[in-house]
Amino acid sequence: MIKNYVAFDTAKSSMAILAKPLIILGALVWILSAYLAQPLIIGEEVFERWNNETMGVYTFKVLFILIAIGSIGGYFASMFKHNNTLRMSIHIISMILVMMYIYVTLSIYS
Amino acid sequence: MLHSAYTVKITSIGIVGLALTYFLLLGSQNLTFFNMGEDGPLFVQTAKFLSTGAPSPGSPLFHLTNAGWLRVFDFGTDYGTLVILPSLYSAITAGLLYLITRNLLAPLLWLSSGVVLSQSTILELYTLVTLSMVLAYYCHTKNHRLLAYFIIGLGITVHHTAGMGLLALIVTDFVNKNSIKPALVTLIPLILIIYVPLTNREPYYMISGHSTSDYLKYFFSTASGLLGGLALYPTDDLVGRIWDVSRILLGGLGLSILLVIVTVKQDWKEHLLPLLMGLLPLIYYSTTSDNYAYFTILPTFAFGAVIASKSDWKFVKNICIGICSILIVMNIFLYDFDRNDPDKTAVQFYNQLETLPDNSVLETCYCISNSIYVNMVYLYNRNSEKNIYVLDTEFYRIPRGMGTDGKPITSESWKQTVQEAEEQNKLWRVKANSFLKGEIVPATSKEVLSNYLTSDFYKETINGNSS
Repeated sequence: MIKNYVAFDTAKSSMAILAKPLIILGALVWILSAYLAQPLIIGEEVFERWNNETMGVYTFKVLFILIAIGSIGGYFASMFKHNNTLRMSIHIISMILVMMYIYVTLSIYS
Repeated sequence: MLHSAYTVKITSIGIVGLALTYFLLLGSQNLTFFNMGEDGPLFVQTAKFLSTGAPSPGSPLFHLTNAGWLRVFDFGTDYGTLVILPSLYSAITAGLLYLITRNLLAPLLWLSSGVVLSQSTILELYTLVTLSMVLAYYCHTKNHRLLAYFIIGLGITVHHTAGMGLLALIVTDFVNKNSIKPALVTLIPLILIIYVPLTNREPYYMISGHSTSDYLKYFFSTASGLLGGLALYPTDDLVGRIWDVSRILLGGLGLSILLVIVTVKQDWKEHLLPLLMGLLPLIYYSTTSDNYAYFTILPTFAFGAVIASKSDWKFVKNICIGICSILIVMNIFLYDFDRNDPDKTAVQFYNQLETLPDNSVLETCYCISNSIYVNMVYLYNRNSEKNIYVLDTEFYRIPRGMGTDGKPITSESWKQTVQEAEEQNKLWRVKANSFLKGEIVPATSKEVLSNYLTSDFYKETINGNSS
C-alpha cells in the first residue's frame, strides 16, 4: 500500500513540473478529438465505408478467447496442485471447451 | 467538503432534470438515419405491434417498457413519444453518477460525451443498458449484491452487452473472496425472453418460423457476437479501427483518462469493479466486426467518470469540469438534428414508399448492412397494410428468406420474383451513392441481378440454400 502511495506521489510530483503545458495540450487534444469524432458518431463516415468494406477473416478475438479459456483453466488447475486427478480433469475440460469453441465458431463462419 | 444526504439527493434530482431538458431540446422528433438511428423504425414497430425485435437477445424489457409508455402517453408522433425514454434513462444515469461520486465531474463527463448525447437523443436501447450497469454497480457498492445481480439480469434482457457487467461482478466477487452464488439471481429476469416466441408471428420478420433451427439462427447466427470470435476486417483496417477508438475515447473522456490511470494505480482492487465494467465494453468495441458499434462503449464513459471523480488531483479535476462545460456547449452545435439533417431524409424515404404500388420489390442497396432501409419498409408495411418486398444482402429476404408466395426461397424463385416485378413495373432500387438520402428510382432486373449473381454472398447463401 505504501509503495502505491509512493508511486502515486512520484508520478504526481513529476507531472507537476510539466503540468501546465501538458494539461493545456491535453485539453486541446480532448476538444479536437471530440470534434473529429463527430462525423463518425452521427454516422456519416460509417455509411461512406459500408459500400466499400467486405468481411474478412476473424483473428484477434478468436485467439483472445482461446487464450482466455486456457488461462482460466490453467488458473483453476493450479489451485489443485496436490490433487492430480482433479488437476488433470480441469485441464481436459478446458481443452474440450477450447475445441468446442473452435468448432462452433468455424461452423458459424464457414 | 461534506454533503448531507439530503443535499446530495436534491442535487441528483436537479441534475436529472437539467440533463433531461438538454437531451429533449436536442432530441430527434422523428425517424432519423443519423446517429446510427436505423433501429428506430424497428423499435416503433415492436412498441406499437408487440412484435419480435432484433436478437441479442430480443430486448424484451426494452420493448415492453416502450409498449407500455406508448399506450399511456402521446406526444404527437409514435417516434416522438418513444424517444423521450432513452433521454430519460440517460438523464437518470447522470443523476445516479452524482449520487455515487458526490462530484460534479462524473455527470459532466457523461453529459459532454458526443456518443452519450447521440444515443440519448434517438430511439435506442444503449442508455438503458448503461443505466442497468450503473445501478447494479451502485447496489454492489452498498452491499446489496443480490439486487446488483438481479439488475444486471434485467440489463441482459435489454442487450447482451450488459453481460459484461455480469462478468465484472463475478470477477470482483471472486477476487474479493465473496460467494458468487448470488450470480444465479441473474437467471430470474431472463424469463422475460419468453417474449420472443410469444411475439413471433406472421408476417415473420426477424425469425423465419417456429422451428428450433429458426430460433437457433435468431439467437446464435445473426447475433454471433454472443459467442465472441467475431469477424474482424482485414488488417489494413486495423489502423482505421485504432483511429476510431482513439477519437471516440479521447473525445469523450479526454484528460480524465489521466485521472483514471492515477486513481487505479493507487489501489486497483478498490476500483476493480468500475474498471472492469468500463474496460470490457471498450475491448468489445475495439474487436467487434461492426465498426459502427461505438455505442457499446457507453458504460466506458460512465465508469471512467466514476473512477476519475474519485481522484484527489483537484487541479486536473477542475480543468476537466471546465472542458466538459465547453464540450456541452459545443455539442449543441455538433449534434443538432436540424443542422445535421435539415432535409429529414429518413422521413423523406418513408414518404417515398407511399408512392410505390402495392407488391413492389425494392432492392435497398448492395452493401454489408442495410437494415436502415429494411426496418423502415417493414414499419411502413405494418402501418399501411401494403406489401413492399425488400431484397437485401444481409438477410436475403423477400421477406426473410421467403418468396412473395410465402414459400422458402430458391435461386430460381428469387430470380423469377425480380423478373416478374420488372415486367409489372414494380421493381425499384435505392439509388447508389445516396445512402443517407435514400432516393428510390425504377430498376431493371439486369441491374439488380448483376449485383448479386456474381457476389460471394449469392454463391454462399442463395445457391447454398437451393442445393
